[in-house]
Amino acid sequence: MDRKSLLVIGAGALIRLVLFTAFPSLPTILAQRVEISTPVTSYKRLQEGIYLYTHGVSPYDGGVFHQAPLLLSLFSILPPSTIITNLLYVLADIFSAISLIQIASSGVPTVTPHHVSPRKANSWPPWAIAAAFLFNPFTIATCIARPTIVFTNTIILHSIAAAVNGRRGPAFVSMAMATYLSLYPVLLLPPLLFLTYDSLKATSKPSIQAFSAISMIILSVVLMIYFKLSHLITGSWEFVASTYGVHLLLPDLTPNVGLWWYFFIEMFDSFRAFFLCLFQLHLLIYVPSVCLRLRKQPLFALITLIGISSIFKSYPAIGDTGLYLSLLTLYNHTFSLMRYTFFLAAAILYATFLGPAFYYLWVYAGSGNANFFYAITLVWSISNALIVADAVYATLRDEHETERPELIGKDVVQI
Amino acid sequence: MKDNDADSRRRRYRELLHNITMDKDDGSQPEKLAQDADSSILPAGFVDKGADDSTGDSAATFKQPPPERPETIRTRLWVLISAWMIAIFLGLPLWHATTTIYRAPLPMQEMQNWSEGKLCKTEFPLLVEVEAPSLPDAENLLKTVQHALDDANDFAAHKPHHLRLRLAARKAVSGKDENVACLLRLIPDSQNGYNHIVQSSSRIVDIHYPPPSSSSQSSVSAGLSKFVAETLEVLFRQEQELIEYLLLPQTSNPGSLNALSSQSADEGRDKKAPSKPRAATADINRRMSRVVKYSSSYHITFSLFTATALPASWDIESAISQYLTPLLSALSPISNFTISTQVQYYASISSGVTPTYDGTSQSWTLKKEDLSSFINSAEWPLASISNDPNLNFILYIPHPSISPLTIPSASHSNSFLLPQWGGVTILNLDHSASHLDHLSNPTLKPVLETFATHLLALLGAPPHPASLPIRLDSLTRQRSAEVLVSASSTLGSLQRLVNALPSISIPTTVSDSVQDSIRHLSLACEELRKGSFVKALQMGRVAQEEAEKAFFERTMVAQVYFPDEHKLAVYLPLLGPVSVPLVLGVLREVKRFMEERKKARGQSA
Repeated sequence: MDRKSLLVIGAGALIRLVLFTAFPSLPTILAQRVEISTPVTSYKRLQEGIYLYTHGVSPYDGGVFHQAPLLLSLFSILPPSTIITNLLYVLADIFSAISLIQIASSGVPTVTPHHVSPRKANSWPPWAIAAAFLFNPFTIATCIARPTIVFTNTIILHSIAAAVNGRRGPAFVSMAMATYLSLYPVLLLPPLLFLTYDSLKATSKPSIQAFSAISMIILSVVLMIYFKLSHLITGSWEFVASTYGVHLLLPDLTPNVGLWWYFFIEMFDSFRAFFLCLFQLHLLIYVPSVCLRLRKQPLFALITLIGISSIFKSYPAIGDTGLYLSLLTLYNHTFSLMRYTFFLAAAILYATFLGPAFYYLWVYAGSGNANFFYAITLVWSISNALIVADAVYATLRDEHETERPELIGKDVVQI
Repeated sequence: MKDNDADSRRRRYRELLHNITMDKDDGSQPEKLAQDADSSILPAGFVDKGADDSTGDSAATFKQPPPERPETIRTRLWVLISAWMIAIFLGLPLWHATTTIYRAPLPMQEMQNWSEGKLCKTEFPLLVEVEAPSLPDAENLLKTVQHALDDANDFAAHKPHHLRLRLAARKAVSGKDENVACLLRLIPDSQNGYNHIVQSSSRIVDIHYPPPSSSSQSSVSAGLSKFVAETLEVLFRQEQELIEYLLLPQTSNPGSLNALSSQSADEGRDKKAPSKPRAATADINRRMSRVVKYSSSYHITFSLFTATALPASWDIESAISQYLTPLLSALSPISNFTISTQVQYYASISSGVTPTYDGTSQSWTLKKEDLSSFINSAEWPLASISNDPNLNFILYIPHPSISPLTIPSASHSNSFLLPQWGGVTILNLDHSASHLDHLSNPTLKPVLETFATHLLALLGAPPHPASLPIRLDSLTRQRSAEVLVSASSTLGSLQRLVNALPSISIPTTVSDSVQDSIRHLSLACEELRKGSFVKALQMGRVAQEEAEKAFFERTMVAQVYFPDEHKLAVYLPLLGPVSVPLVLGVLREVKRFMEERKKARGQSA
């Protein structure tokens, strides 16, 4: 790691520490924002769970706590000090930045066995990508509010970093952990398989079938160990329904930046089950399509799926979007091919500023209603979806130009 | 042939999802592009030349896009197939599993049979004991009477009552055995001739008959048996009429849910009992219209409303325990009662009600039409505090300025009954007297006795005969008939409802309740046949409760009005947009495939 990277990491850590210490009330304020904390990640709910757990009551009694049991044991081992907890979150972000630097240094975003980007020279240096992550306001706000999504993001990034270096074991153990923590990373398994497979040394490459079979076995064994450990910690299998059941069945309709809560408030009861299935399938349907279409750039397929699930999963937060946007900077060499950068940046800013305002109007001032906030989450989701679509367009265009190098820099029309 | 070939290629060329590029210097107006595309007739075999050929042709002003490479087409096909696979193999089964309306199996035929009264021929076997210590051939007499009764029964075809006579066993404690409907005591009486005396607090009926002279033994016996039969007929006639009325579904209620089933029964009734006196039916109708709906427990509220501040208190507690509790405990096999009392001062009567002064009797009289609006429901706190049906009994003390206040009625009780609601008694106090501040127990006695009469009428006890135990037995039988009919008709309604609305769901709780109801119905029927009416009433009550629970199941009616247009509105907003790319993708691939085949055929030809 070069000096600039270290400098960036130091600055990122410093910003967080300053925010934690200079504004002691900021973490509590941010932790209450629905845009940052969801029922499945909230730090407040985590504390409730820890309290119940340390007092010998099942943490899932009362239906407030919906997070994985291993998080409980992690936080109950830690000394109950705010400083140490804050440091843990800062460390998680630093670790994420290091993973991003590793990913960027591996060159996989521009060079894969199937594809070499003609814009290779344009890509940013690793420290810039770390900076894009560490200085992203969404990431900073998420770190200060301390939802457990921070750990999921760190683990996903670590898994990707291991995968681009062809280290299968760490990649799949980490992805199993991410899946265990928040379920939806399970959708990232197919592109992770391709990514790891493509990064293996050409000399010792097994067939893709054998490779995937063994990887899946690793993943399932590790997942089973996690489940067994959780069972030992909590003493019952109750946690499965209270964590994954909540992700899947959406019993808690607390507003968030996603599309589910309003829809299921309005839903006819008899259709609720059907539309729950439909919404989950909708997420699933992208997985094979994206993997097949972006087979040449599995890392980009993975990033795209992260982006899609950050829009369409049941309890999204801006932490998910922060992860997606940071990962997207790995493909900054294709940004010049994106068509709506100004519009999208404006829309994201618009939603970011108006969202809290409308939430205030609805919940505190009482002069607005739920539709105000819902409208803004729609704008937020649409602009995110457009970013995903535009990024996919840019990358495909980049891919196309490797096939047809004479088209570089020329206008295109679709007929 | 060649034109065709070129045409099809041109068409295909436009449809391919491709980037066409032009040199910027060329001026890339879309119109020009279109013209170029139209005018360019590609040389045969162009497709096979591959990408390099077309790109190498730099001299051409307009560059042709290369054809799609096979792997691109293959990727696109796989993407399409994967999406459709998920939709078909995961989406469709889930759609089916989550939107299928669950309909638990119901014993439809059995329910229908119950509602049509096919499964239980409601019978009320009544055991009558006869005590005739002074009669030598009592056995013979009984046989004759039984014969006469059976004959009468056969004539009337479908009477639910079967009277069975039995000579009283010496040791039996008379009147205490539950199953004995009444005990006849035959007492020779030389003075009065034939007559019967009903004892008011037991089931014993004394029958007095002139003692036989030794010469005309048989004629006395014949006369006596005739009289006994008549007496029994009189004793049970009212109840019999009432139960017959109950067992035939209400024809006076065309809007009710059992109108359908009642029609056939109605026809049968006209055939069977054409000579039924209309007056009796009208009387029963009138009586039944007062009766509150049957419930296993009632709440009784006694209210003292006084127009002034006096009297300030009343001895209601001791009065109730003294005059009413015996009756309530006698009623306990049928229903339980909870009691509350209240006093309200300065309670004015409704503003619309103005009594008229009658100079001759020096009293104020309420008009008959004002009685129904006498209750000042706006100001009097009469709302029920209990989940059970509420019965209100009001003692009203009018203001001295309009005292004595009377109601136009033949009786002197100065009270009236509000059907299905309760009773009102107006008590005129002598305002010149002292001790007005307290209503003592003796003052309340006539009031509570009136209320007791009202209560029996509200509960539906027949006014005749005089014996309270016999009346209560009668009430038990009448209530069991009622719950049986009500439970059966509820089951029938549910069955018709389920048949008529195929879109409502039937949760397992409904089918459980229906099974339970049917089981208890048959148990009740059995108990009736055995003659243990209290048990039958209990069973019937459970049956009725379960039937109503099934009928009023909340989740069942949630989807009653959910027409198919609504389903379209539920599905389309989301599924429509999502399915457009899937469907269009398939259409495009099919089109491409067709044209490729056509071209291949054209080339081979």
